Amino acid sequence: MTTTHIDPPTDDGALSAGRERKLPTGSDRAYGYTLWTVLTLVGVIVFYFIYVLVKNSIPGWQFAGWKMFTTTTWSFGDNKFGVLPLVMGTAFTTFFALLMAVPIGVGAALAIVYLIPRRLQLAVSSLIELLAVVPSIVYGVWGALVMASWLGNSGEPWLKRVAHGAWPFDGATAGYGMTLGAIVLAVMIMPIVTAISRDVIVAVPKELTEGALSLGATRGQVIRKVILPSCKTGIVGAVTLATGRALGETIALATVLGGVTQMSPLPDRAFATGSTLAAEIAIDFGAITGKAGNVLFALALILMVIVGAVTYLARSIIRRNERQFQ
Amino acid sequence: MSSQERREFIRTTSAKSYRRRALSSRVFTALLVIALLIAFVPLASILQNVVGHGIRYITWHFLTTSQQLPSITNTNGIGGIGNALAGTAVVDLIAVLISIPTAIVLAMAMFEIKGRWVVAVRTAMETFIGLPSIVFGVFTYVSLVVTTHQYHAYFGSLALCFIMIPVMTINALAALQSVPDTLIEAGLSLGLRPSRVMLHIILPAARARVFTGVFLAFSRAVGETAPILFVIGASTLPGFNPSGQATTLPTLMWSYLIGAYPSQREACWGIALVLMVTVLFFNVLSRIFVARTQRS
Repeated sequence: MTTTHIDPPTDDGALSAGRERKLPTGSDRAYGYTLWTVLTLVGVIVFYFIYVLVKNSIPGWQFAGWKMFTTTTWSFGDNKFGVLPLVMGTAFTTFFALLMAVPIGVGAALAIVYLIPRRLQLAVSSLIELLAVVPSIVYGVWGALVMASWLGNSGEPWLKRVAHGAWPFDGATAGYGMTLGAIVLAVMIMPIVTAISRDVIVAVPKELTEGALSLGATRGQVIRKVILPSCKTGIVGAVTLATGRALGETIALATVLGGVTQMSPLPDRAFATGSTLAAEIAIDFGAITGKAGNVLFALALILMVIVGAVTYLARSIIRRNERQFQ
Repeated sequence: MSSQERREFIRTTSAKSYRRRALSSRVFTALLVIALLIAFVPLASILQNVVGHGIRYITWHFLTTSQQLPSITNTNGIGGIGNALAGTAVVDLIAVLISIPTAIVLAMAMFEIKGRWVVAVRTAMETFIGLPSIVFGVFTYVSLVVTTHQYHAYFGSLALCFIMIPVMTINALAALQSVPDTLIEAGLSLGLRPSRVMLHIILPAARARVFTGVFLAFSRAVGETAPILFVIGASTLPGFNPSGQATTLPTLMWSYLIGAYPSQREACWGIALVLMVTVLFFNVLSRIFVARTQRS
C-alpha cells in the first residue's frame, strides 16, 4: 500500500442497488436530513473558500497593477510586486526536481518489483515510503542545515569545475538557491513517484510479461517495451501528484532558496538564489500590512490556478491514454 | 542457400542479436539498481541527522519544560518543547474531533445521494487534496484572524480540517463503495431502513478502510506547518486552552529554523525526531489497518 495514493472512487457498476434508493423515506427522514445538511454545509464552505480568496485578492491586483506581470523584481518591503521571478522559481525548482525524481523514482520502483528478492520487497518499499511521511518542515531543516553547507562547500564548486564555469553553472556558489531547492523537492516527491509506480507495476498482468519472456525478450526489453508502456497512465498520475506537491511546497523551500535579490532578480543560473510563489507567501506573511497583504492573496490565487491547470492537463492526458487502451 | 546454410545463418545471427540484447538488458537493470541505491541516499542522510543530532534532546527536561528564548548570557538556554507538545495535542485533537464525523457523514452522503451537487462537492474534495496547503492557511487567516483580530488555537484546528476532511472523505467513500452489494441487498430485503443498513451493515464492513484514511490524513496533518502558521499565534506557556494562542511542534521548528541562535537551529533536530516518531506512529497504525483489511 502507498501512503500517498488515494483510490479514486468509481461510479460504474458497484452499488447500483444502494444508489437507486430514494432519500429521505418516511421514518428515515432524520437520516436524510443529516446527510443533506452536511453535504450542503461542505458545499457552501467550498464556495465561501473560493469567494474569500477571490474577493481578498482584488485589492491586491489593483494595488500591484499590471506591473505585477511586466516588472521583474519582487521586494515585498519596497512594494515591488513583479511576480515573474517567483513564477520562474516555482517552474524551475519543480521542473528540475521532476527531472531528478521521476527517473530515479520509477527506476527504484522497477528495481523493487523485479530485481530484488521477494522477501526484501516489502521492507525496501516501506523504507522508501517512510520518506513520504516525513513532514515538509523536516525537509526544510535538512535542506537548510545539512544540504546547504554541503552544496556550498563541495557540490556546487564541483559542478562549476566540471562545467568549466560555463552557463548555467557560473557565478557565485552560495549553497542556498535553485539547485538546493530542486534537490530538496526531488527528495520530497521521489517517494510519491516510487510508491504509486510500484503499485501500478505490481498490477501489470503476469500474462503480459510471461508472454514477452516466452517470445525471447530479455528482462530489460520486457521492462522497457511491455511493462513501462502498460504502466504509462499510472506513472503519469504519479507524476501529476508529485508535480502538484512540488508546485505548492512552502515550508521546505522557504529557508533554502535564499530569496529574490534586487541585483539579478530572475533565477537565470543554476546557483541563483530566488523564491517560489508558495514560499514567498509564507516568508512575507509576517510583514503583512494593508493592501500589500492582499497582493499575497493574489499570489495564492495565481498558485492555485497554476496547480489547477497542471492537474487538469495531466488528467486529460490520462483520460486520452485510457481511451487509447480501450 | 541450402537448408544447412540457412540454419547456420539463423543460429549465428540470433546468437549475435541475443548477445547484444543481453548486454543492453544488463546495462538497463544495472541502471535500475543504481536508481534504487540513489533513492536511499537522502533517506539515510535524513535519518542519520535526525536521529544522530536529535537523540540527545530526548530527555524528560526537554519534553516537559516550556520553550525559552536564549539570551546573550545564556545562548544555550532554549528550554524544552512542553508548550509545543501541549499545543500540538490541542490543535490536532480538535481538528480530529471535527473532521472524523464530518468526513464520515460526508462520505455517507456522497454514497447515498445522487446528482450534480454531489459530483460538485466530490470534485471539490478531490481538488482540495491536491491544493497547496498554504492556500488554506491564507484562507483561514483572512476569514477568521482578520475578522476577529485574534489568534486562537482552534483556528489552527479549522485550517487542518481543510487538509484532513478531503483525504478522509475520499478514502471513506472508496471504503463504503467496496462493501459488496449482496450484503446491502440482504439488509434491504429484510426491510431495514437505509439508515440502519448504513449504520449496521455498510459502516461496520468498511470500518477498517475508513480508519486507514483517518490515520493517513492525521499523519499528514500533524506535520503541517503552512496552514496553521499564521492563525494560531504563539504561546510559550504550556496550556490546553483551545481559545488561547498556541505553538505546535512544526511551528516551533519553523521559528527555531529562522531563529537567531545556533542552539535553536540545533534543537530543530530534537523536535524533528519527536515529530517523526509521532507521524510514524500514526502511519504504522494506518498500515496495521490496511494489513487487517487485506487479510479479511
